[in-house]
Amino acid sequence: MSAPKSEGPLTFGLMAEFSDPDVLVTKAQQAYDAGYRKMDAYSPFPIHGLAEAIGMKRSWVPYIVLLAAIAGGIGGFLLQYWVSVIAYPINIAGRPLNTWPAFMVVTFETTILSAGVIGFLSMMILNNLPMPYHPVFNVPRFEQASNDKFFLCIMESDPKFDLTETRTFLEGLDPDGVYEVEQDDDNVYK
Amino acid sequence: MNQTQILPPSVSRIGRNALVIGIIALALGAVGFFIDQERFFQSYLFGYMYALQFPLGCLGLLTIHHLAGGRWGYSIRRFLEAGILTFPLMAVLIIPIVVGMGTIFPWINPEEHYALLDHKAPYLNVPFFIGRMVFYFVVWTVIGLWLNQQSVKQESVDVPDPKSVARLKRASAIGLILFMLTATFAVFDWMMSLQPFWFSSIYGVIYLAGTAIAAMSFSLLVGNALKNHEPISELLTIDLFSDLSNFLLAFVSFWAYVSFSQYLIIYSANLPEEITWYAIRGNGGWGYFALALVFFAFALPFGILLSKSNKRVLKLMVSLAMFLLFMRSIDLFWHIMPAFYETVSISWLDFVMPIGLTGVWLWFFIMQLNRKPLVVRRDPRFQEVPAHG
Amino acid sequence: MQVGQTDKTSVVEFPVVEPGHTYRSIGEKISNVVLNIHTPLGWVFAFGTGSILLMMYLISVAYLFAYGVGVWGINIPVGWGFAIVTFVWWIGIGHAGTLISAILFLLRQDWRTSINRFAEAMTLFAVVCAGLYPILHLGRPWLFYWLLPYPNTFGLWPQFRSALAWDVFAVSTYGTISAVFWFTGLIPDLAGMRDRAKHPMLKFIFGGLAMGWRGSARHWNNHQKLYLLLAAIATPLVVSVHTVVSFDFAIGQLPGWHTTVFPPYFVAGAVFSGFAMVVTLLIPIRKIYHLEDMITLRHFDVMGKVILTTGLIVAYGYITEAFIGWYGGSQYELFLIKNRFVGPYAPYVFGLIFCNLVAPQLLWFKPLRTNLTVMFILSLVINTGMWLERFMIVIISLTADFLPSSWALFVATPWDWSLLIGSIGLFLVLLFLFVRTLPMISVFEMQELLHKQEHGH
Repeated sequence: MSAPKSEGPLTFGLMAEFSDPDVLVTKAQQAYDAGYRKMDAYSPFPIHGLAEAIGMKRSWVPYIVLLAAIAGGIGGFLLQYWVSVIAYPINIAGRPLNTWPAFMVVTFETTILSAGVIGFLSMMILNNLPMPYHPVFNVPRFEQASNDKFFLCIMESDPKFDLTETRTFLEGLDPDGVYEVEQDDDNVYK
Repeated sequence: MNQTQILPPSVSRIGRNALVIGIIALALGAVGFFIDQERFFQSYLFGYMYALQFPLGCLGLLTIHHLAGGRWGYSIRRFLEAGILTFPLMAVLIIPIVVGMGTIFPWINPEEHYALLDHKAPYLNVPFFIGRMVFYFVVWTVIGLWLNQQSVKQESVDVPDPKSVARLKRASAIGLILFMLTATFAVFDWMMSLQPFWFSSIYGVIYLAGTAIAAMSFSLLVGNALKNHEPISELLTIDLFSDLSNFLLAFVSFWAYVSFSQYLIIYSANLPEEITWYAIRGNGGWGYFALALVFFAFALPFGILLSKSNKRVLKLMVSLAMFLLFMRSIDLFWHIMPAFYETVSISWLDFVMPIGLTGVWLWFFIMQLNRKPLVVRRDPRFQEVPAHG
Repeated sequence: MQVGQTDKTSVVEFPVVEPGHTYRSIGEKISNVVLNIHTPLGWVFAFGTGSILLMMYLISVAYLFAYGVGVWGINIPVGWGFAIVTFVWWIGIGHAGTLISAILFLLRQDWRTSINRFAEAMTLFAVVCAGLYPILHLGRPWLFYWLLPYPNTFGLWPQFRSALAWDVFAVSTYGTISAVFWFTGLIPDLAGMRDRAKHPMLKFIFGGLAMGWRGSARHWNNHQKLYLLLAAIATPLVVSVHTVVSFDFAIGQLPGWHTTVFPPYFVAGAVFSGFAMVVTLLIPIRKIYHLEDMITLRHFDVMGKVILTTGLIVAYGYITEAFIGWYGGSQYELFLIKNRFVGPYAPYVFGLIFCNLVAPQLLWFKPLRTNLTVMFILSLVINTGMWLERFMIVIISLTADFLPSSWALFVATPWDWSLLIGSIGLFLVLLFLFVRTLPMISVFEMQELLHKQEHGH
């Protein structure tokens, strides 16, 4: 897909820099309205409404966490049931082997453990982390994305992407600067 | 400002109907007195403890709101304030319990002599019991009047007065501490001593957690009844109902937490003087009530309230609030009745008593609600809370 | 809903962030604590003290390993000595961290932002200190993995009706989830450190830890969802952990252990001591690193209120426990109450009443809540009091139970004391290493807070 530009490195996309979080949301919305779909916005802190502005779907994390919690709870209870009733049945003060009230505590803990750990892993996987290299880091100004600058990047993989037209479009958004994002290999990055 | 009417006609009508239904139910109950005196007093206690949840819960929520702030509280403050003005009514309604205490509380006329009751006699004796009862109602009534008076004072000025917040906070801090202590001992007196050999130090908190569920569900329903009524409608937004539902989630969880910890501690230690309480309540059909509580007073509401989008569906939350109020009656029934009956025993009196007492209480509550404008205008903290906080 | 938003009025005069900060100045100020080559003298002093105490800890542990748990004062009937007292004490201290990060996050209390990272780290290290105690107490600590359910050649499995098996799960879950919560919040800030660091070595380390975080809208979308969910599951978790610790005692039959009010009263006591520890640590650190503009008097005012509230809940626990102890009418319970007040350990009990019930009443007064000297001293007093409370519960109950013939006093040995004081060293060393190497205030949340304050939503 990413057709090589004449010579030198490939292009990942074009990046515009802004210095206000609310401006970024507006401009991202404009880019979306102009028909661009493959894009991303970068900010030092979460901005309410940014993901929606560039047409991002709902996060899958809550559903995964819910499933993990249910699985952890059932798994924790079954572990105790199996241990106490099947594998190693012993009489403790005449209580039934399946002492379910006493098992609730560990069931609760495994629910939480499973939800938290799997939730974290799901966040990492959905975000494609860890990923030590990414083309956007080639832009020197991008260091400021964790400081006080806000970036909008339209990717080369977008069907509507055209190096000159998109550059004109981004410059029309009145940014602090527009940079070409170079890519050192021919992998496909999201 | 719309000064013409504080409450819409529909709500006033609810008040009148509640009174009519309440009086009819209580009259039927009075017939029950001549049929089965013992059962009459037992059911009356059940109905009374059910109705008492509302003012007690309102008192707890209101003091917490004054101390912690929060937008939810300003919107329902008037409901809570009306709720805590109903203690004089509750004080009158408790008289039948005083009359029938000899039949209700087995420590008063024990069938045989127990050394353990002698040990408890300094606390469990009739004069002290009645003295405490009077003391609780004096404390609750005074706190109720005090908080209302401070609130009226806060509204009486033209410019919001920052000092009024400090005054309300002071009243609430003292009020909350006194409330926690008196309410705990009231629950020990009126519910725990039904089985005078049994004891549990968390027992007061379990009932009080239930009052929070009841008062919050009730506030949600009152809010729903007033949601189209100017000018309070501007405060009764879906955000508010969603906040109230969040509190319901917290209270339901807390109630389940304290109820279950008490069960697990007593179950694990298995001491004869304690486990009997659960032994009765797990057998003879009472076990089904316990199961119903696990699934319908905790699991189902908890599952519904977990979802953020559910909390924004007002109709669902209104139904849930009504359902929780119903489950409160199951909980209290399961707490109180097994003290008298080893197997499940349901009488028609168990229906008319809570309906009658709660009906009369609701009428009285609506009267109190009609006394001052529903919207808080002069609280300096509320002025600054942005609209979608 | 938010206290943070109401503070523009005259009711609360202290802001959460002093005015004049920008996104950049927040980031630089916080990361400079780490990136600046200059180490303040105060840090050296605290870390040095911690290291000395840590040496003491290591020596005590080495001696313990060589000679066994007999070096402590424990014996029959007091089999649970300082190790369990201090275990409960540390795990209680840990509770403030999760409370600040999770519960206050859900309650949308903005003031938590500048202290949550630090409090979470404190939780983590307190859990480390706590978790080591039961392991050291095992007698053969190298076999600690026997506590876990795993298939083994003996065909043995844990006994899940025992609160001690619950404890293993509760504490390890708590440690894991606290670490995950802490690290989740840390990732964006690690990326910030990567970008702000000048030295290539530092860039490499922080870059590796940040794992390629770019702050993209997709990242934030998933990250914030996860953060909210972690807060939501950490809230019941934090309650459950001290509840389980209270079950260690309450599900037994020993007078002084078995009472149903224990779970909520233990949780309140944990928060009580945890906030006191946050105050103890923040007052010097704020001064060493000149963070007065981010950790304001407002924070101490609010923390003072939390300490007062939880202290009153603890008082409620004492009252109902004592009343029901009498009301229950068991002669053993009655003796226990008497033994607490007139027995050999009465000074401990009166000390605890002073520290936990009397002294915190000073916090009713705002001038005292915002007086840092008072707050510092009070926080030390409270933590002493909470240690004494656990001493009262664990040890006094064990010394004199049902059979007078088996009564015996507990006398702590020097090794008990050295391990207790040494564990404070372990805690301090870990904590000050954290302060020196990682951003101790959440940069992105502070920037977000500033954004919210400026735009009023």
